[in-house]
Order: sequence, then C-alpha cells, then structure tokens
Amino acid sequence: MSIGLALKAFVAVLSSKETAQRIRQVFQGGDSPSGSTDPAKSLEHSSATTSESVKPAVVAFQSSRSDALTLLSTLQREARFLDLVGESLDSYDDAQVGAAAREVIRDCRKSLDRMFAISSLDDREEGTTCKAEDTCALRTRIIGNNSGTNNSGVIVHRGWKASQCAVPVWTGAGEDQLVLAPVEIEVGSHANR
Amino acid sequence: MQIAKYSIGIDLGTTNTLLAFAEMRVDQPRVDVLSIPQVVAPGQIESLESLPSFVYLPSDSDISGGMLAMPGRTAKEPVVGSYARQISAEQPDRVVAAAKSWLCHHQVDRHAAILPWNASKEVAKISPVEASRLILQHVVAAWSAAFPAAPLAEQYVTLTVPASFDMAARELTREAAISAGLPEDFVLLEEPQAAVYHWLNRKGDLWRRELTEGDLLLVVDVGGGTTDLTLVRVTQESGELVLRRLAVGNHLLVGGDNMDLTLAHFAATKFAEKGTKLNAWQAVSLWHACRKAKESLLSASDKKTESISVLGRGSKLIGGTVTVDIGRDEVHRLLADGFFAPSSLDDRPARDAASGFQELGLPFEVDSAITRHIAAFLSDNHEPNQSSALATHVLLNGGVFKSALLREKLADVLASWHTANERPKLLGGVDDLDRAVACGAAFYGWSKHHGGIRIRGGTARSYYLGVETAGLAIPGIPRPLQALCVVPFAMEEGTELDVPGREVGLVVGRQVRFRFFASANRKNDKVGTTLRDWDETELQETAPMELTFSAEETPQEGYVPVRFHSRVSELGVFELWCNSTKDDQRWKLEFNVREDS
Repeated sequence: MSIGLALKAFVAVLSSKETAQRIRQVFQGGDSPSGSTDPAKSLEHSSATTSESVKPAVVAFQSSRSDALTLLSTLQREARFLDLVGESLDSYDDAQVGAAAREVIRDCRKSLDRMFAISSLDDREEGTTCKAEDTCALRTRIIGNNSGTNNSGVIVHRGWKASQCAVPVWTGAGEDQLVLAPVEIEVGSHANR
Repeated sequence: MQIAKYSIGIDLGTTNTLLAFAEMRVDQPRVDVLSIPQVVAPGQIESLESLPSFVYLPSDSDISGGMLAMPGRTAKEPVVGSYARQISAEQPDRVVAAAKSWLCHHQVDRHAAILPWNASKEVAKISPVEASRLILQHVVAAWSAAFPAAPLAEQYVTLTVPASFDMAARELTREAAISAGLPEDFVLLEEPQAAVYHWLNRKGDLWRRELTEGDLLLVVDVGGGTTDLTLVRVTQESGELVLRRLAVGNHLLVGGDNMDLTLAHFAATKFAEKGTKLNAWQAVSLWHACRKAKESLLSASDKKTESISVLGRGSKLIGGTVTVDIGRDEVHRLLADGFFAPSSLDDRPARDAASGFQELGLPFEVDSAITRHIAAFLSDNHEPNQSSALATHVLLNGGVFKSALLREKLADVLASWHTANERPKLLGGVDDLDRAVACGAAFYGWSKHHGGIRIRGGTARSYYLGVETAGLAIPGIPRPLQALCVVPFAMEEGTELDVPGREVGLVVGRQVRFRFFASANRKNDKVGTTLRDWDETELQETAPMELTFSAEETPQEGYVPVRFHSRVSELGVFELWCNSTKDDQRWKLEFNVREDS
C-alpha cells in the first residue's frame, strides 16, 4: 500500500501545486491533507468579496486506513455496490439485472457526486472541433495520428474531474481496516419471520 | 459592544439542522454553509452540509465498542446526525426523531425524559429539550472545530423557530440553545421570515422592483414534518417600502415525510396486488426507495411509468430484487391532489370529529391537504380594510418544492381563488430550498448590523392570562374563568406595557399559577381586554405561568395586590411581571412546561 501511495503522491505533486503544498504540510507535521479542507460551499456569485478568514479551519481528523477502502465501504453502505458487482449475472435475465442495477447506479452516482463533486473536465460538447494541442497527457489524450500541420481534432470524450475528495474518515484500528461491510445479524422478535 | 466577526444562522429543523455564516464586517455578505462532521457509520465520520435532527441513544455494546465516538465526543454520549437517522427505522426504540415537534406539544412535560416516545424501559430516555440541546451542541462543536479563533458564543447568532411556535416553545428553544453554548443574547427568528430574508439577499436592491406597496406575500414553508404559513404585507412609510408580518398560521404537522409515506403505502399495495409480500425490512427499504423516487416521479417527463424496486437483502441483491411499475398519473393524483387538493377559498381543513379518544403522541393533522389549510389561513386573516384576502405573491420554501409539478399544482390552486386574469406571482427559485432558512438567518444578522431592510411584525399572537372571577364559591363548580389580554397582537419587540384593569391579589407563600392562552385570530383585542367566554378555536391553551414566593418576601396581610406588566425584549423574549401596587417589589412569572398535575 505504501509504495502505491508514494507513487500516487509523487505523480500528484508533479501535476498539482496545491497537492504539493498539502503533502509538504504533512511532512512538516501540519494539518491533515484530508479532502475536507474546504467544506464550505459558496452560495454566492463569484463576484462576492471573499476574504481568507472566512474559510473554516481544517478539521484534523485522519483516517487510519486507505481512503480506497473507505470509499468501497461507503458505496456498499449507501448503494450496495459490492453486492451488485459481487453477484453472478448468469442466472438472471436483463430485466431483473436492470431493475437492481438502476437503483444501485442511481445511489452510486449520488454518493460519488457528494464525495467528489464530479464534472466534465472539458466544458465543450462532444463532437466539437478543436485544436489538439500538445498538453499534459494527464489532461488530454490524443487519439490517432497527427499528420502534417493541421492539428485540429474532434472531442470524443469530455473527460472527468473531481472538484474535491471528501471520503469519510475511518476511525477504526488494526485488523478491522480491511472490513468493507459488517456482518448483519437480526435478533429479537424480527428474527423468526 | 464589540462587533461580532461573524453572523451565524442556525436552522434547527424537524428533520435537518444547518448552520450558515457570513462575515459581519464586509459590505457584500457572502453566505456559506458549514460542513458538519458526523458519524455516518460505526467507525466512519463524514462532513456533510446538513445534520439530520436525529439522536441515537447508544446501547451498552455501542459504548464498549467505542466505534460511535468522534473527536471531541465520547462513545457514551448520544450520537447526532446521519447514522442516527439511518438506523431510526431499525431501532425506533433508541432514536429520537422530530424532537422539535415535541417542543411545542403542550400536553406533555417537555423537560421530562419521554423520548423516544413509547420506547421500552431499558432505554434511558431523554426530554424534548435535552434532544434539542444535543443537536445544537453538535452544531456548536462543529463550528468550534472549524473556527477555533472565533468562539460561537462571541458571534452574532440567529436561531430560527417555526412562526407557529408559541411563547412557551420559544422559551424552551432558548433554554436548549443557551445550554448548548449559544450566546445569551442570540436572536430567535421565524423560519418563513428567514426564507424571505434569503430571497431579499439573493435579489439585492432589485426586490423593490418585484414588490410594491399593497402587495401581500404568502410564505408557504413545507418542511419534512411541518408546514408553516406566514403573511407579509408591503406598505410604504415615508417613501420607503416596509415589510410587515401580518399573521402566522397554526403549527401544522404535515410535511414531506407524509408524502414519502403515502407513496410507500401506495407502492406496497401494488406489490400486494402482484402477490409479493414485503417483510418489515423490505417495507423500510421501500420507504427509502419512495423517498428517492419521489423527485423523479414528480418531475416533468414523457415516461408514463416509473419502476420502484426493493433490493434483495443479503448478498443476493439481484435475485432478491422486487419491482413494481407505478404510473406517473397515479402518483400525481396521490400526492399532488392529496396534499395540494383543488379547493375553494371557503374550504376548511377536516377535523377529526369521529373519535373522542386520541392516543397521546404528536397531534398529526387529520387533513393532509395543505391547500385547505392555506385557504383557512388566508380567510382568517382577511384584513377588514382590504378588499381581498388573497396573496399577490407567493414564496415557497422546503425541499418538497424541488418538484416543479408540486410548485405548479399549488400555484394553480392559489390562482383558482383569484379572478381570471390575476395569478399570484411565485418568487424565488428552486436552488436553495433546503438551506434558505439557515442562509436567510445568517443574512438577517448581517443586515441588522448594516441597517438593511427588516420585516416588522411584533408578536404573532395575542396572549391571555386566565383569571378566576371573584364571587361565592359553589361546590363542584369551578369559578368562571376570564381571559385577560396581557400581550396584544403585534406587540413590537423592545416594548413594554402596563396591563390596565383591576388588581389581582397574589396569595403569598403558595405557588401562584395562571392558565395561559394564545390566539392567532383575535387581532383587535387591546392590552387589558377581558374575555368572558370564547370559542375553543379562538383561544388555545398553552403552558401555564407560575410564580413561587420566597419566604422573606411574605408580607403580613397574606396577599399582595399586583398589576401585570408585560415586556417583549429586542430579542423577542417575552416576560410577564407582577408589579406590587403597594411598593416597588415585582415578581416574574415563568412558564411551567411540565404536565398538568
């Protein structure tokens, strides 16, 4: 896990000044780099005066396990994601799969939007003709052969971006960190149905 | 006094609580909503924009497990927020919901540990006041964590209450708030007014183009569990437009949750028709599914039917999923016509006349048609000098109105009361329906400091003390009661009044108790007006007022002649004093919110 994280951090530092700053803070023992750094969402138009002091302080909670595990656990809790992808599709027809998937997909979307505020990376519609400029490969992927001087292309995918990363903070410890969903046991009067 | 750094608005809702804030010392207020960290599952904390107003009372195993703790809160303390709401259906015995509705329920002792209502004996219950305190305390802690350098107790704080809350419920809210850490001088603001302030903030100075002198604005605030109505008249004073709150409706226990439940019942019968029997767990899932489906079912679409599914339990998700198709027009009939029924202005909400016996519990409305409640409200508050009781403008608030269909439906019914070419104008959009109250309250604090527009109104009701008439006692028959008006309708904040009329003798050394009544529609009674008989719909009894003398105050005669003196402070706090007519002594009457013994 730590090598993966280190790699991720390495890439992130190179691609984003802000991430670099946050990671620097971690090494300096500063505030948590958790995504909940700027939880307040503005209601006002961008023209409104903003002063630095309005921003709430970082609430210093720190997960003791990878956010990836907590993300899976959240999607299972709120949308039953693991139940859906874990089940064999062989014995069901498309309508039955569809009925279940519709619910799960809708709930997944809601959870992902809340935690990551996902939107298109490029505002332009798909099909728009544009210049295929040589930019960072993380942001733009050029498909096909760019021959000659005419470097115009067509947007076939608008890309995705997250505006935040606000996965719940996990407060458990030790072995439990690999638990994605608890075992459910029904007791009492409900049990003998 | 030093100016607070922030203006904070707290919307303590029946189902959700929010905190919004704005910097005080800026010319253009920017209102933000604070994210509130809360337990979302055992061992998981997330910051969310709203804090569900649910309180979970942890079991012994929860406490020893420690997985419901949060930084700054131990595992022993009740858990407020998302996790509490999530398990409210599974563990109704341990979750307090709708504490706010209990705060204004004057037939129960609101300081007594009665919630969760009907919970088993093993659960250490809490009082409605305590539940409200816990919710507010959670919000205060979230603020302190986010703004450690600006303690909440030093900010300008506005807490919203339903316009329909009576004096006693407001006093209880104040008590819970101060013990939760709000400053002593925080302000109570009525929720529909907060929604209007939010609209004013969004409009800026342009609001003067939308409203003109003589306009009548109806605010319909449909929350999760309650509906709150308010009328605001636009008048002109020395060339300036002035907003004056004319009237507020009664506390109506009908809201968005009723709609979800109605839809769930309807879907359950559809399942039954198909031969699918739902168990208890599936029934709860169905309720959640209906809540989620409501929005898409009530949006404009060409699709004739929409499917509602209950997912299979366990890891057999797909195999166990059951589905019914629900016709869009059926849902429209059910919800739009059920809650926003076409009605005439002369219609009145149905009252439950059939049963003389009612289980104590929250007094939910018998008639769910919000439109009929609005009709009654408008007719009851028809000003004698105005030709029409109808509103020219309508401001809708509450998540229910995210549905364009319901907005239009309500607008249609309201329009049907007007003549053909008139139609009340809907103000505001659909963006901030869930947070308008909190944001409006934060803006109100800023606006007050900067001399912005204010809605005037004074008290929303007139108030009466029950005074027994003197005369020969007849065994078995209580002395006739008279109602003495001590607070006239629309008594302004920051004013006081001597109550004229005869002296009342207070017997010393004993507890003095007066019955206390409120009226929403006796607007012409003056302070000192005495009513000999009244209609039950006119005067509603609220918590009694009491006073106990301390021993050293005992005069020789055994009683003190007093006159009453009422006062409504700048902050909207009501005080009723007994002033001795012999000397300068005076005593304050306090609400007794305990059960009648």
